Amino acid sequence: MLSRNFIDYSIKLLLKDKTEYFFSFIIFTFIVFILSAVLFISDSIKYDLLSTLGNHDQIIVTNTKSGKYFPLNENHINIILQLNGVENVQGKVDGYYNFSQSSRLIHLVADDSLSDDEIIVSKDIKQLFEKFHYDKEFNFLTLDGTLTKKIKSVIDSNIFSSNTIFANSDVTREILQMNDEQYSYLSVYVPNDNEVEFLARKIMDIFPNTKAISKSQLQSDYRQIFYYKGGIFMILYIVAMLAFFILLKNQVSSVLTEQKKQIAILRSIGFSIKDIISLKFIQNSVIALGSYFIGVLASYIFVFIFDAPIVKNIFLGEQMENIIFTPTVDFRMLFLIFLFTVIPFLAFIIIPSWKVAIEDISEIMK
Amino acid sequence: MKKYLLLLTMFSCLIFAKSFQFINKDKGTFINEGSSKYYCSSCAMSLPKHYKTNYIYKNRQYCSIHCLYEQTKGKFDSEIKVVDTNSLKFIDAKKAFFVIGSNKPATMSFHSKYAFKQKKDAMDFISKNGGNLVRFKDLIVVVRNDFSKDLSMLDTKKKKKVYKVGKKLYESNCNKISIENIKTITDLKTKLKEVCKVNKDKQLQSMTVYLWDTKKLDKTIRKIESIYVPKDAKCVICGMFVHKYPKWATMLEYKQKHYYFDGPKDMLKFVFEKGKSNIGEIYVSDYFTTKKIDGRKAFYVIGSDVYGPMGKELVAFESDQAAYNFKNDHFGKKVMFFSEITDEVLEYLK
Repeated sequence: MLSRNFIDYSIKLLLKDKTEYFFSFIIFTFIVFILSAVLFISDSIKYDLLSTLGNHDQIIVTNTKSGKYFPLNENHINIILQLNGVENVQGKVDGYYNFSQSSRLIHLVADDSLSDDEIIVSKDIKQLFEKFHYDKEFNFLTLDGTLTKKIKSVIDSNIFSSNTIFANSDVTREILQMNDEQYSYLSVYVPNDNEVEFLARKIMDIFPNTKAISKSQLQSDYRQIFYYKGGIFMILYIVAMLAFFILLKNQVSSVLTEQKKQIAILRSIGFSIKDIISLKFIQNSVIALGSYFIGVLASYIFVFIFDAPIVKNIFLGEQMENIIFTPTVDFRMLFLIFLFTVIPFLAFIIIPSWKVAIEDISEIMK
Repeated sequence: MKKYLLLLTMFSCLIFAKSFQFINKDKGTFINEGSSKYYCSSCAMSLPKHYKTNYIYKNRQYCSIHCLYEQTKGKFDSEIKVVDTNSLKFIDAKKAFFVIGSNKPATMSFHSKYAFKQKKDAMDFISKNGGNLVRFKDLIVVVRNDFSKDLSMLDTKKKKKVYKVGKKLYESNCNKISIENIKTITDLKTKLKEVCKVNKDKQLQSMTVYLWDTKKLDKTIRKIESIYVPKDAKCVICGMFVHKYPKWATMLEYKQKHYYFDGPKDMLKFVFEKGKSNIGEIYVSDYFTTKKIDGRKAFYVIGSDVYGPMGKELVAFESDQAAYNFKNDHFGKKVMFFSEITDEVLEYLK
């Protein structure tokens, strides 16, 4: 039934009516592009957020004093290490440096691979510094005077590492005015996941003014932020779907009017109803699949190679121009998009063509 | 709002760069001989870093009363000197006033202990930082009571953290040294300071402790080796795939074949079916560390609120202390030996 010649013929027929199909092809591609771009961006951000919560940060302990953050000390580490089920406790240093010239708080993160006189900055911070003519080095203002550090290198930043300066822990402590025995937070490693929640509660029992957050709580907090943003995407999806249905209607009406004649002629030269349906099916699946794959590919290039120039600002707001996205592809969601676009598109074409095909030919030819 | 909070956070941090006990080397008195001038005679920790808790006994300087007690086993037959917290001079400890349990940091102990020459100074210190005033006789009693607890605290810390850190640092920053002809821990630290590319005392100390303890005191580094479960291993009692629950995995040897189970309960059913005498090696997973441990030497807790993949379980532990702690934390009914587990126990766990 589906001989090569038949397929060849249907493609030729499709190319003959290029202009008619061209419009729907473009719209379809654009819709798939928008949908999958939104999906790629959101997946990538989610991936970055959740993957940075490494396996060794199973419980994060912070300390408060009269409701404000307060450093922890060696004693906290000693006592938490005694608990059964805790395998390691690491004191971490991080905080915020107030860059008052542009009234901006910059995240300082300790990285001990650096030497005492150098820092690594993220791309957007580098641009900020250049505005103030800090090209090769930067002066931190502390209560004990200025600390001058060389900018060793610049890193591309994802959602987490934008607005960040890395320095080694001594330098970080100096800038944040902490002493050697103090830590901003503790990262507790627990081998058995079942004990994590219990140990977090236990730590809070031992030190009533600490806050111990388990990894799963952190993840759900991040997801919460994300779902709030999800509302904006939801509107995008709805708009895209509406446009899609307008496209479908357009397709259907074109089948019913202009292609009636074509179908009738094909019937009269001996095509069966089945042939008509398969002809239409071949033509439209070429359009649908072609535009689907082109749309997905284009959005992949747009998001992961050009880093989504305009759409990014919708998602993340200002000060995020330099974020790069980690390529993540969620095939399940792509398949869903496929189901919701390609399948209805084909169905909406085939049913009207079948309806036309079973009508009386002489009626149409009049 | 968030920004203001962060600002406040930054300024609410205490503003001094060094810890309370620290002084500069030129401000204190250091009497140790030669290379170990600035290191504690017992544990090699930095003396200026913990200067305010320093002691001198028989011409040797120690970083804390804990170290001194460890060296002398609590028998003092000559003069002890201690640093006066305010003047930083050494004074006679027998006449000093001590403040125990203030909120200033402690050295090698849970409770901080600071000495004062004048009672007034001690009372001022208490009004600022809390704590209790005692004399030397009572101080020794407190140290004696704390000693084993502090020792186990330090031991746990070393096992879980310091050795690992020290090993990593030693292997990446040092030229290897032979340790046979090094007599004392302070000599070792001095030697390491020459051959290693680290400049922080804390890093140096962790390397010293690692080398000294593992090479001289024959302590072992804590290694967590879990039971390896093949992907296709099924529990012969309930038919579940074992590798999905690695934290509950158990293994035994029967007629030269390895059998895997998803919990001690199912394993014991198998053991009772085949008869205890026919079974070879038995391994279970420690609940806290997921370590592979000998099932016959393990301690089992029944009746707790922790459930395994097959419901009520016997929760296995390597040490009795861990087992009793778990029992208290998770409302367990009883801690049992392997030999105590009978058919009735399994019936109870159904």
